[in-house]
Amino acid sequence: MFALLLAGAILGYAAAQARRTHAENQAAYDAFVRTGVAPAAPAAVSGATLAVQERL
Amino acid sequence: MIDATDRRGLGLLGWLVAWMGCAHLVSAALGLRWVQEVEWPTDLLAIGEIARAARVDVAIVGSSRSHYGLAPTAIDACLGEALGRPTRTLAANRLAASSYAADLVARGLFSGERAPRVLVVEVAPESLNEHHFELDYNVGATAELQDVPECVAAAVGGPLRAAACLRPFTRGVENLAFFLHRPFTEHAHITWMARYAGGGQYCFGAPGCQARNAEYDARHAGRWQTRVERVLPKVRRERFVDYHIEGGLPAAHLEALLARAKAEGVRVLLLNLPVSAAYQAEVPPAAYATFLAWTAPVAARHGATFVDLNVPEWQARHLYVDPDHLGAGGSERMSDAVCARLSGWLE
Repeated sequence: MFALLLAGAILGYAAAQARRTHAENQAAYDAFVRTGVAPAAPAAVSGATLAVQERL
Repeated sequence: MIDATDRRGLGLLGWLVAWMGCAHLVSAALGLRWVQEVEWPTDLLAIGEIARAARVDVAIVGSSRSHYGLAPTAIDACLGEALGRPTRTLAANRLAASSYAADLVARGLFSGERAPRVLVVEVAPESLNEHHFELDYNVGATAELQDVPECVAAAVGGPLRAAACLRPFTRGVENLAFFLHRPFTEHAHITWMARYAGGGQYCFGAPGCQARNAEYDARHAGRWQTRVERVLPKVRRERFVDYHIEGGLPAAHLEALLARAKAEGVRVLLLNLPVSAAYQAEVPPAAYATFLAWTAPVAARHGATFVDLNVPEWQARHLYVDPDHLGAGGSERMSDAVCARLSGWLE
């Protein structure tokens, strides 16, 4: 029973996060198309990015 | 005889299999199909999920060479000027992609109702090698369940490769973990590129792009030397071992991509992106000749156009951030060169 609850919690949390991510991406893109204006590009390198870029 | 301990162990295995299957189905339903552990290809998540009102003009599939070398914003600026209308270019590249991975990305993101007008497909001698150095990784990251039988058949004689073919069964768990472990808010620049610049490494024209590109290249100023020391000595023995094209999975999938594109009315540009002279010196001439001799007629047979830009004028050191990836200046110039090839196709 505990395993089922844990699995359900993980999948439910993932679903909420995925829906939020998709909605944010779509809203940002739609606003960009509507206005033709993009926010300023953020810095290209974060600490995490630098660590994995070596593999590319 | 099965005792209580065996039953308990089998029960745990049963739970594991059930969890993996469930995670696979949920991951696919949530659109997390294209998540992977290295963060720049997670732009495919947004590229794939964002609904667009108009048909995509140009879609790009390839490896990190396309990620660095082709900038959708630069291509769109150039095409817009040539055509007198705005265009939409998207780049969906994957780490160490062979032609196998390029086909599966194109099939998943740029076919059917989402077919673009033009598909730019990166090809390279490594990408078509039957024994591609990251083919197992390609399969693990991109294959669907429907691709497992073909993969297993191609892996006869290689148990490890056959095992890699089963990755689609486990990828759901992996993708959920990658997605939850590394929220995209940690990588605002990746999300920004997917939303506003069509993907890729460099952007041009939008506020902040010039500073962003310069910052990236400056932070990677040591990358050339590092890769000269760590990658170039391995090129021959890793990427060109037992070089063969015909009959391999990458070659079969490049042909599948070309056939599908032709059936859907999509024009295809097969692009041999340049590498620096330092990298090219490590490419075995016989393998390179085999690659050119195979690719050009295959492209012609499927009605595609093969363009070879891996020529000396594109191999100068200053164009590159490392021996086989163009830097910001090279990327802008390359994007203009590709635009010049495509503008007539989109009129």
